[in-house]
Amino acid sequence: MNVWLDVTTIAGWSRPAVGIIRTEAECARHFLAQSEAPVRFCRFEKAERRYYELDRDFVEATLARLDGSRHRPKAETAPSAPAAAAPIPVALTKEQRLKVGLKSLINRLPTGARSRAFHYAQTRKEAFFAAMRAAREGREAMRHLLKKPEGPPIFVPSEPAPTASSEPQPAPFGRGDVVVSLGLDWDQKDLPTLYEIKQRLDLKVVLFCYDIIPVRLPHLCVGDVASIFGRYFADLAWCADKVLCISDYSRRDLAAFLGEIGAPTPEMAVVRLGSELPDAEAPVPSAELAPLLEQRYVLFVSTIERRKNHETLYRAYTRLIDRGMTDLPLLVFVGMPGWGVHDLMLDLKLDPRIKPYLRIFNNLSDDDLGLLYRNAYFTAFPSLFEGWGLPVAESLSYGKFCLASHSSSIPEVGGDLLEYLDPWDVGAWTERLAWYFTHPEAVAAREERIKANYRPTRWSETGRFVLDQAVAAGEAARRVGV
Amino acid sequence: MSKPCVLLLSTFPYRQPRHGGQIRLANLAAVFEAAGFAVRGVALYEPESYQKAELGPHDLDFPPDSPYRLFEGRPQIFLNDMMAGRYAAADDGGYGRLLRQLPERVDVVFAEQPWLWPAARRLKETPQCREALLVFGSENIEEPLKRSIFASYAHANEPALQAIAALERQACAEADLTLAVTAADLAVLEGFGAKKAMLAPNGIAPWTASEAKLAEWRGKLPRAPWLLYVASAHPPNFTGFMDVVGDSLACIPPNSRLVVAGSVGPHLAERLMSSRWHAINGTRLQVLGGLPDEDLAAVKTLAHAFLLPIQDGGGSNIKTAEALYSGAHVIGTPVSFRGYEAFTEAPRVHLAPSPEAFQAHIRRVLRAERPAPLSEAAEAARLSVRWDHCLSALPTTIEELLASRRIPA
Repeated sequence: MNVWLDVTTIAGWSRPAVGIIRTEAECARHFLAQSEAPVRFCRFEKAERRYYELDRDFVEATLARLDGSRHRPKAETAPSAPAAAAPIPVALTKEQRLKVGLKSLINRLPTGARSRAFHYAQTRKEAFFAAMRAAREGREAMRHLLKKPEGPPIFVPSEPAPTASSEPQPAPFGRGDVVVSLGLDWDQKDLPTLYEIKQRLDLKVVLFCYDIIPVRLPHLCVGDVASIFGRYFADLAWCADKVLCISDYSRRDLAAFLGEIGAPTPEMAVVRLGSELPDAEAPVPSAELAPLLEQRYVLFVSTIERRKNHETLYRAYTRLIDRGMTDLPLLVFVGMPGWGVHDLMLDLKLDPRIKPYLRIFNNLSDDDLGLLYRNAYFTAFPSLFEGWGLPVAESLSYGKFCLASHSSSIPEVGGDLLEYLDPWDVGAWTERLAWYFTHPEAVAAREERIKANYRPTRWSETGRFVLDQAVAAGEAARRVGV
Repeated sequence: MSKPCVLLLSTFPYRQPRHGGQIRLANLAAVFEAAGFAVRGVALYEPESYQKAELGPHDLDFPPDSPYRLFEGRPQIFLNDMMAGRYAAADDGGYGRLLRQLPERVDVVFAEQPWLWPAARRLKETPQCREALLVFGSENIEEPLKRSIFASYAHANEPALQAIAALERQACAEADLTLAVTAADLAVLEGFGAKKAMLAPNGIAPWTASEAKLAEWRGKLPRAPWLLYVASAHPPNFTGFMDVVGDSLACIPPNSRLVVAGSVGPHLAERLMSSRWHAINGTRLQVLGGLPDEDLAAVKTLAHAFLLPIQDGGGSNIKTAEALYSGAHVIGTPVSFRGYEAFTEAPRVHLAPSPEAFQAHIRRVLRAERPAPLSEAAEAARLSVRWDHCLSALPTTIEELLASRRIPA
């Protein structure tokens, strides 16, 4: 029995590894370090619907490439990586090719026009796709108009099922092997293909669930994602012998959802994600960050998007300012502006009250991020909904108190070490921020408790847990087979 | 003595039977003919629903512009069948045309469903039918069925429902013989005042698929076990589907499909694709549309399981009989087994009173291997659903009634 780790996501990744990419990379690192378990690596080529084996050298080089991009300041170019570790070019779908073409066109524009054009294209993405669909439908309509009538219109399934005459897809796996996949599977994989191979080779499959936010709260995501992710989770339910969920909340949420849509409920377990940032021995802050580290600031690390609810912090700060408070810590947002925050970003740019206090950073190196956590007065996390709450775990790993939202999985991260608030209750955030600003001894006491009681999960523990679960799934199947 | 003649009155032709009512009618005609009766079929059909090739030589259209298409002066949905009866019995409607279709002598005026009862009873005034037996062939208890159809379209028409209830009771009270398709319906019809009522359940015509067709369809249908749903575009066949099975087909594995044969397909697809889970449903649905008999025989032979998501209506379902006859797994609502209650304990029959039960049975059945051959007893039970078995007592009963009329009191 081999345990295969699917590293499709990191194989095609060239930016710093965060979130899901980090999880896949750290598990790959742990799998590589195993000499006892028969571990192998693979990637999925979506355009061909086919798995390929990757050798260990390639995976090692890939990790080295990702590690290399962590510590470099963003202005520098990446050190050249071995040829084998260059991101694998992936055969693109028509829509992906259109995206790439559009991006390349925009990149040729003058710098000033580029961001406007990019913003325009991004906010009208659905319109572009709709136009493509309209063109396809138009072509289909012409075909139907011109062909001889054949009776009433018949629904065409979005994908044909494998029939008795279909050629089975070749796969590198052996009978009874275990396949672990924990990357951007909804985008890069095709679970019906994996299901077909699983049935044929009697594989055991271990998959991940980070959250089911696109299904539960689709309005907080881009476009109509509920149905697409609904399909992904339905396919996951059929494919997986075991699903590793990143919080107990996500586990319960997924189980409830699968019951709701009538899908099978596979075995589930909760995996704790690592929360340590890779520390350089003596990190040097980048030039843009250095002046900030001397000041008192509240840190909020997260993509700037509706679900993360930067709005509540902004409103709470402006209320404090309107009350006449002047000695406020700076408010530091670290994250890339994303979907649904156009008006908020305009407010932040134009509101003269917040301007003196707000700093926004994007695309920081791990060194800079580590320094920011270490020097923060405390952190804040008013998110509306999470599958876990990694920034809260990171804050605790650095011994920092976090004023956090009480929503979804977030209280699982910090237990009774933190204070939780209703993310929509701007009044409560205003009061508690003011209180902690004026009671540094309370913040220090919280930090002491965290240092004494919080034990962060190491990425190596996450990797070990995933591998143990995979081996157990394979062995349980063998025992049943016996 | 010449062969006794049966006049079969219906609101649909049966020359090329597709939907359940047509199939029953065609088999009634076949059973009568096999017993030595002459059969004259006259359908008052809606011309917008049937092609010329589907019509019999004596069938009559119910013109779309006829004032009899209106109920209480207004066009109304789902009432053309009842209005066809009023048209057929009216001097300023189709009664004259109906009279021209009569043979020289009619021994049995057989009205399939209550709709043409006004015409059937009026025919008794004619010299050809004066001595005829009046037979009412019930397929459903119509008033509650219509009520549920109206409800599924949020349509209210209480006067029409009252008229249907009255018509059904009148047919029962006036008929010399009333046929019911289930024991439950029989009890209701007797309660309506039927003088003599008998059970004449729905059955099936055995099918055999050619090797060539089986090979062709194996190449088009999923390799993995799959579900089959065969139904016509009759609204209850799709309006309640999601209430019965749920609005997502996630209970079907990614490499399997719900295969839909018959004219219900596009309607069901439209419903499932308007669900919130359209991306799931779009990958688990395979709509075949109406199929020639030889293709349908192959599809039915290859099916791993039959789905019977029947929620409403009276009567029994011919599709249930076909599913039971197939020897494959059958998953259905309790309503769908009406008339086949004896089968509900059979090994491959799965009763699903809720969407959750439906989904659980589907998941389990689609994971199972193709079932082993049936036991001898189960095989005998399976064969009992054939039409010739189900309707065997009908010609004899009618002959006895005719004979009793000829014997002077």
